[in-house]
Amino acid sequence: MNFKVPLRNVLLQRRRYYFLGAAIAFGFMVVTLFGGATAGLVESMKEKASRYFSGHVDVRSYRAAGLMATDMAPVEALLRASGLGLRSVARRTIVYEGTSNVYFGGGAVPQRRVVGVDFSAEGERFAAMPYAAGNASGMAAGGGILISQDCASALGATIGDDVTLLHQMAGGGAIDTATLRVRGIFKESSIFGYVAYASIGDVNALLGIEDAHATDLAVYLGDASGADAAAEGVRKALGARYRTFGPIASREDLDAQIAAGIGFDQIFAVLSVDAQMSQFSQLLGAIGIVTWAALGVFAAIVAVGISNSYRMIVNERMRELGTMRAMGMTKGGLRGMFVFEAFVVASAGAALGLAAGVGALAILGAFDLSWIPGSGLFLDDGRLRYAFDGPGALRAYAAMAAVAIFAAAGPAFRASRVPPVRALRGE
Amino acid sequence: MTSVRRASLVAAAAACLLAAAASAQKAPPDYPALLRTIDSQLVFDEGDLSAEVTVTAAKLGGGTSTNVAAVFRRDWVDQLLIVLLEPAADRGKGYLKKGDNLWLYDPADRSFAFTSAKEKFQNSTARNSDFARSSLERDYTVTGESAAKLGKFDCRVLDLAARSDSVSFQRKRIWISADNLPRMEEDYSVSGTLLRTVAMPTYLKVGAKFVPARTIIVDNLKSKKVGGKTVYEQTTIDIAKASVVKLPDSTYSKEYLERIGK
Repeated sequence: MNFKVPLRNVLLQRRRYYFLGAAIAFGFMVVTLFGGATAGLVESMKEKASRYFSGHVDVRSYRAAGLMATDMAPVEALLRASGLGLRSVARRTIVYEGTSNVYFGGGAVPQRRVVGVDFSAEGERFAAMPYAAGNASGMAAGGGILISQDCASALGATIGDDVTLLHQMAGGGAIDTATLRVRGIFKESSIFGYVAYASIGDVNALLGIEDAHATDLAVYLGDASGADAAAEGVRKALGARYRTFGPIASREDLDAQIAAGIGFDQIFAVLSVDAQMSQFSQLLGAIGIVTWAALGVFAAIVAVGISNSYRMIVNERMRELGTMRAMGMTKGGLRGMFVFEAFVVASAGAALGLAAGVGALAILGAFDLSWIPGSGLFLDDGRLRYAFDGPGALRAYAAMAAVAIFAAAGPAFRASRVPPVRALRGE
Repeated sequence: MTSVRRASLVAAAAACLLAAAASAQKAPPDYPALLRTIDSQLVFDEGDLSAEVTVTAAKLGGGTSTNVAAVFRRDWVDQLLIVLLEPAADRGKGYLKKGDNLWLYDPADRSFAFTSAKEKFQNSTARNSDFARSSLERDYTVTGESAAKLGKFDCRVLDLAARSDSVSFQRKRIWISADNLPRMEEDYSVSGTLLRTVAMPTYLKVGAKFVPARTIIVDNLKSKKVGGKTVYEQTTIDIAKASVVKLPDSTYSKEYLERIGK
């Protein structure tokens, strides 16, 4: 087939194809916008979640009484030698139970959790956290604390202030305190907000835990999208030497497995960040389904529009088609020419739509959207982080091209069946 | 007098002196007995203590909240019932303690929520356990003693360490007056941070026992400077209409709380 003819036709007939191209460009822009925004929301949420929930994969130690701090050094060594391609492994002591409060200036703010972090291993993660003031440098030396902007605001605390971190054991047991200096005030709200980060040594001392022990291992991956598979790999690697729970799909799943009985000996739970965020992933999944359903409806409308447009284009070009048929173009050649024209228009529209979509994402990303209730969970320092979803864009392009080709095929088929004489007469 | 007789007299005198010296040397104090004595002054072994308490919480921001409650206590089986009378918005709410279990009752939805005796009472500095029986001997051992004057009282100052980590305040210092009544206590965290100071300047005698007529609880973690002076958040508990009567067993029940709540 001679591709020059359809390409030339597209250029010569561009006025007829403007609407078609614009419709395809608009559709692709919407797909790029929604896809990029959703991918960015997920990426942002996972980054926050990995910091809050102890890495992309969280390894926790349990015994009969429940969560138990233990010497994680052998476990850490096993994972490093496992060949699973883990980017980093770091100890954490997380206060899950009991009550914790930060006191300063006559006030107290309860903390959803207090996290003891090995800042020498996770320093870069916390350096990347958005801060309203201060930063995480100096945290590895101990004696410091990172608190949220909401907490600092409620207490009237600022960088350099000494606050009292109080923890009371579950069931109203022993109370202990630590005086820590505020080194960083991070911008985090929603469920990631009411948390305080301190060095693991300080938190272990507060809980009366041995210095080398920890409740969790935070495992980080090069690519967070493989967290579920990595968690299963970690679980199997641990299973060679230790007792482990079965695969854990969500925190509710973990609770159910714990309720079924832990036994007296040590047992490890391995949770991916996706399992930790399963409820929110479901929410995002639901939004994704609604988005793609809406896009499906939009694609159907575009398909109908393309089909009608092509019918009009074919009618308007009937004499031209008759001339080409009279000059020897076969029916197949005519159909192929129309289909290829549709493919070229779809590709050009997709390219324009992609550019417009990326531009729209950049513009949207420039605005502070933190005023939207509940948005703190998904935004990066109040702004939308967008990600270019390459595979998603290719899928959308393939779909859009298929829609255009399919929509053009019908009129092209009918046009090819019109006898050249009738076509020349304009019928 | 013969020399033998003189020597015998000297020996006898020396023996008497030695015996006197030995008896003058104090035996180590029986601290468990002391703590038991303190508890026994405050614990009602028979009958039920009934009283009206007024809890006034002064916040650092300047606000003050006042709760009035009826308290019923049956110490020998460790049962406690508190029914809120004021403010009107909280009337009918109650706390029921039986052993280690404590429930909070809300008449608005007629529900019982399981809570802890170590939780704070109505957002004040006081804890629910501050209304329960004294249990110094059960929960603490004495690690040191000194003497100090507290106002008009000459006090023994005892340093206490908790026997287990189920006790909220792992370290205490209490001032005991000559009548074996606690006049002040300082409650500390594991690491030695002063968490709160409790003063009991006066007592009411109810039957053969005592209850603090006024208790002042200062939250040493919540403070701010006002005019160059450090001001702490504090709660005052005043007791009135205290009596010891035998109440029906059904008083310490969820059904009774629900009935009163109506």
